[in-house]
Amino acid sequence: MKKLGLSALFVVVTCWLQAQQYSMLLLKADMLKNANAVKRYEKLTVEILGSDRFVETHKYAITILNEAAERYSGVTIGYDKSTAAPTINAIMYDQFGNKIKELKRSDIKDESAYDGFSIAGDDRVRSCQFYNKSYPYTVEFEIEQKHSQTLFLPYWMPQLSNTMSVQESEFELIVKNDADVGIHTTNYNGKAEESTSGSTKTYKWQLKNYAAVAYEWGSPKFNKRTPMVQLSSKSFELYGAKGNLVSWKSLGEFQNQLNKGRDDLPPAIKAKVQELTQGITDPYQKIQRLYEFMQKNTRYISIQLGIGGWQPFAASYVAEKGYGDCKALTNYMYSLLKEAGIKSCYTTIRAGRYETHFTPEFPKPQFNHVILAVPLPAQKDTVWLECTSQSLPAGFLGDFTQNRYCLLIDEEGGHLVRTPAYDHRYTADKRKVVATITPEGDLKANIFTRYYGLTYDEKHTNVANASREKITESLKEALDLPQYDVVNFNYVDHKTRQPFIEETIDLTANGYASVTSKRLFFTPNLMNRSGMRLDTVASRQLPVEIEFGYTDADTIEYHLPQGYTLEAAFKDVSVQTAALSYTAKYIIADNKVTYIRTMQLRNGLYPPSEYNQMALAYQQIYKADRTRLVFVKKEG
Amino acid sequence: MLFLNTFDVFKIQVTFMRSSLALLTLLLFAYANVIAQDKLDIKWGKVAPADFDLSAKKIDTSNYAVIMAAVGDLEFEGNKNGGFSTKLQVRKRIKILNKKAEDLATVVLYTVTSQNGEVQVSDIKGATYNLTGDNVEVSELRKDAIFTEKVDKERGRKKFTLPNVKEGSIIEYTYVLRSDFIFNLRPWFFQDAYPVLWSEYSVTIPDMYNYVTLTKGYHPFHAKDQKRGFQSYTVMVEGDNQRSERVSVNANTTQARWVMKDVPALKQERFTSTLANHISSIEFQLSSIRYEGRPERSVMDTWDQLVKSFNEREDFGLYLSRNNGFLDDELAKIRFKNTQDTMQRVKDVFTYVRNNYTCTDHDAVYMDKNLRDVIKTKSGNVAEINLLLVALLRHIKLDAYPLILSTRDNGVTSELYPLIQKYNYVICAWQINNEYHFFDASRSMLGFDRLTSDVYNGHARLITENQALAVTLDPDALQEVEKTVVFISPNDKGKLEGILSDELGYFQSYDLRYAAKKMGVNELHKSIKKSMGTDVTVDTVYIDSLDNFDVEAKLNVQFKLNNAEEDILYISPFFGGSRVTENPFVKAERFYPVEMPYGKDETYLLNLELPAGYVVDEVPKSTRIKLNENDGMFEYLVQVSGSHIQLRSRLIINKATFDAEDYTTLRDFYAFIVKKHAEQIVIKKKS
Repeated sequence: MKKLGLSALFVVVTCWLQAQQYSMLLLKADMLKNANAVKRYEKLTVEILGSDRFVETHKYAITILNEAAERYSGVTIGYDKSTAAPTINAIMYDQFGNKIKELKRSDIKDESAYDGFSIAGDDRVRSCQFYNKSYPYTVEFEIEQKHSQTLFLPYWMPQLSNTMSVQESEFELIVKNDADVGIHTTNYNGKAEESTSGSTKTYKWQLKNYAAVAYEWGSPKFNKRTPMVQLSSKSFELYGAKGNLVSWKSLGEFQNQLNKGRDDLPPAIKAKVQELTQGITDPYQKIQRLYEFMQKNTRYISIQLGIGGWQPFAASYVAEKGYGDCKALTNYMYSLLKEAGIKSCYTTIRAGRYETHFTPEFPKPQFNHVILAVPLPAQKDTVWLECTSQSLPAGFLGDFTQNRYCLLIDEEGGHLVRTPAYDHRYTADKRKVVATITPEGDLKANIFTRYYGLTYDEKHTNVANASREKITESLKEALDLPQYDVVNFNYVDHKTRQPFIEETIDLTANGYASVTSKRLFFTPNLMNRSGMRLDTVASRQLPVEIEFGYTDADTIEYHLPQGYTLEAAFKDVSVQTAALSYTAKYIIADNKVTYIRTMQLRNGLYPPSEYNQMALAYQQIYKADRTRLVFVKKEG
Repeated sequence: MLFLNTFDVFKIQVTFMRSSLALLTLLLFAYANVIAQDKLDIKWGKVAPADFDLSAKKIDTSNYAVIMAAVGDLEFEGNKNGGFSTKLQVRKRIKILNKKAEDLATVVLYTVTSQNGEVQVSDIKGATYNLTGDNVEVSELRKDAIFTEKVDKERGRKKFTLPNVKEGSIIEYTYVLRSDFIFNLRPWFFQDAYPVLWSEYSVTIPDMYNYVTLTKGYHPFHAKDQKRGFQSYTVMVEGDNQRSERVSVNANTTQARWVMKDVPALKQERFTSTLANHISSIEFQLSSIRYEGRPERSVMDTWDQLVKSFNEREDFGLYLSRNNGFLDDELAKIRFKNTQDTMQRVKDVFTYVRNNYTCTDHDAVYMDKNLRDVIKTKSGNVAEINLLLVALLRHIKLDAYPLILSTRDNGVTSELYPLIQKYNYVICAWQINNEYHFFDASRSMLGFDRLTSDVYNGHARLITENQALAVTLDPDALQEVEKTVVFISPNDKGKLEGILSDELGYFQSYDLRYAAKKMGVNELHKSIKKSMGTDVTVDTVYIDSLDNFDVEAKLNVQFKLNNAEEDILYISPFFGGSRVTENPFVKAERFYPVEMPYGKDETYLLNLELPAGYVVDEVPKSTRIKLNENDGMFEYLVQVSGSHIQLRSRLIINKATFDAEDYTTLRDFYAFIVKKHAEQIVIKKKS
């Protein structure tokens, strides 16, 4: 192969296409099954020219089959100081493959990329959009972009969602220094086609006639299942800072280089640290003290400028301003602990409730957030601190960062570890209710609940720092009862090493029981009716993954008015599958009904056959949770 | 120099009257010279320890912050382009009571740099005051905490954030906003999501300009006064040889001031079309200009002037009636069904536009691009799409006009005065036989001669060639009618089977179509099946007219009753979604009117034939209640004859808008319905 010079990069990708190549007539039926869109053609070319620059050219065409795929009819490309503004060419074709529109330069928008929460940032976006309501139609985009960094390299993922099929896609990687490039392939059958010309090496991956798949409830995340090739550059540059990406350790070393010398505190703050920790010997208590000081005196403000996307503002900056982003606040907390003689580790992580997908075997930045880990080797414990929270107890991470990989950085570099899992063993609602039903059918109940783990996180978010009036307001809308009034309530937040919240609610629900001249009807499940309803399917393809398991235990004691006996028979219910367990029991004695319900959904990856088991179980649970007891007045 | 000693302000006062959304009255105020009697007792930039103590103030401490003072001072100044601009200085002092209100320490302001003029922010200053012991610690806002962002070619943002904000901090900031756009002066909101102790707006206007003001809300003014004055303005005028020359303009001025004190926080609650209808505020629009030595010239202070201006605007009416030859190509694409029938022709044009154009913005009165570009891109904002429809209908010689309005979420408009910044939506009107039909081609699933509920917001204006006609799209006159009939009878094996037919109202049908588009028809069928509950097993679901957007949709569901063999059967009489399971009026109190989108008339009819061997044991009692005298009623009738039970529930609400005083009545009315709808029918095997 001819060696490519720099000038060749500006030559438009040569694949000159015959007219009508995007005609619908050329699509096979299997490409349309389960699909809202078909990727007709794609060629992604990445040429890595050195540790400080690469060029990306991307041409692709997608046929939009219906409205659900409309998001593919436009394109948005970001750029910043390390990335030149992209050039974008865009053409639209009708269903016969005839060109109907070509966008001009003036049709491309250029705007600042406002993320909705940062006060400052220098990211911008270029974007364009086609509008067409005559389905199907095809859009073709050609994008070229030059980058002056190599820490963040593009990846090839031909299928963009499960409802997209791929007719033809190719990824070409051209590297000057082959030894410097890391390649990681997932869900790709076969090997890359390789060729060498002088010092330039070329890799090619191809995907053809890859079909869309129907959505299946509870299936593992799409990007764990679809073909993908990821890249890394073993030596890289970012805004002039140099680093190595040969291991997680070396990525940590790069961060250390950026964080260096940013932990100085002003004398007043140093004195404050000494004052706060004086006389305390228990390290957890010290951490707690300093964490609360940080929470009280700072707030989260996002500033993303230049290398600021990676480098924290100095601790002295936070001390002066009283605000910072996740990096600045974490570095500040690190500095406070350092002053108190406690070693802690700056830890990068991919945050977001559902952002748990991670490639641990391939070192490259997969992070968007920073937290602090405080290892206590003597106690065999690690205290995790979310420094952007102004209320969480020391050591508790929310659903935002729990149960996933993260890069813990100490003086030796990075170490890949996992954050604690708030799974079904820890996440729990334990409830005890004492209720009275009046002869008119009105209900008075005293409800006592303890929340742990992820539901602790939710409750904590609702009640921390909230005024009584605000909580009253939200409680009056929160419960799933036809009509009710909250008479009184109380929350106790136990901000201990294993935090939990105790909630007490006194409520009245008029007409909760329906009373007729002869009978009294009511549903014993007062506050925890499962709304999940799944249909069984003839064939299930994918496994079931439960990421947010929990345990519920409810005991409710009802005191009924005198003079009623049970009329309708009832059955205790017990349901078991691999992933869940459920029981509902009634004990009836005189005018007292005790209802006991337990439900557990267990974290884990289950075989496809588990799906139908769960669907049937949920149908039973749905019904059992709505069981009505009927009492009839005693004769005479 | 001409001295004018009156400053006439037309004040359009919105008052809320029983059983109507808003009554607009036009009042003429001739202000007397009043000396400001009540001044704000704050020294800006000086915070004393005593200022942190708000215990003596009349405020609701459940809030996370208190706006201690918000003051705006607007005046005119000469600009470089030979005209006048406004300069507004804003000052605020806020006490942060809770971490949850720390966002108030970050301020975002919008700037404009365009050919038509600029809006710029300057003189940003601020500080945070913290009380430590008896000392007030001051942290000044530094330059590195002020950020400038370029959004696109014309728009920008200026942002700043104050340092060291904690619970208990007092923050104070000031900035100056200069604007070349003087047609509308900056509005002022006296009310906020937090309580406000003092809110003051002062506007100094030279006599050459007159403005109308619109005030809204329920909170009274604490002070309202005006002062006469005199000012000398320097205007830069382009002179000979393109050199700028300074020109001095002297004018008498009137300074008008509005003050509110102890204004409670106002928050969005259910059934509110927009808080903007209720929040205490004042808005301005230029009504006339009188330059020295020239006669007074009014600026859009009558509807006639508005029509003229709209019809002359390139981005509205100018090209609508031209001989737009390029429209022929577009009309050629329409397959007209029957060219003799005018109504059908109009419908064909409407349907073509609706089906082929994508609306990119449902909030616009003017076009951003010309009609040719709208056609080329097959997309446009709501004004562009509906004005294209007007142009197409005019091109085939029909009487089509734009109708401008404000959607419910944008607030009500005044019939008395053309305050044009209040409008945000355009639809197409067509006149035939002295009757108007209204079309909105911007919603892909909206039928011919139909509108969505959010455009029914009272007053709207029709823009004809020479006049602006008031049109009322009255939500109180809308009634969503739904009728559900259920027949249940034993089949030949004695098992109970049922058929449900539900004739939906048009808005419900629209929502159903939207759901079908979002989730797909299969998923919609599944969700209808699920909505039937666990007491029944659904055999078939059929939706009639799902794709015919012009008419109401109808649901048909066939089902079997489960557990139909037990000795005692408890039957919840409401099948499908007809049961009122929840009281929509959750809160115990209401401080402003309830604004529902429309009234309703829901009928549910159950015919139940008992299986052989069963007798009726218990049925709910019949009852009927009224909502006020004529505002609505709920009727629940049960009749048993032999082995037949007939049950009929009817819920009527005759209007959409209710006063705050009616809230408890509405809540109790619904509480009664919820309870009644939960009752059961009990049938038993003969012993």
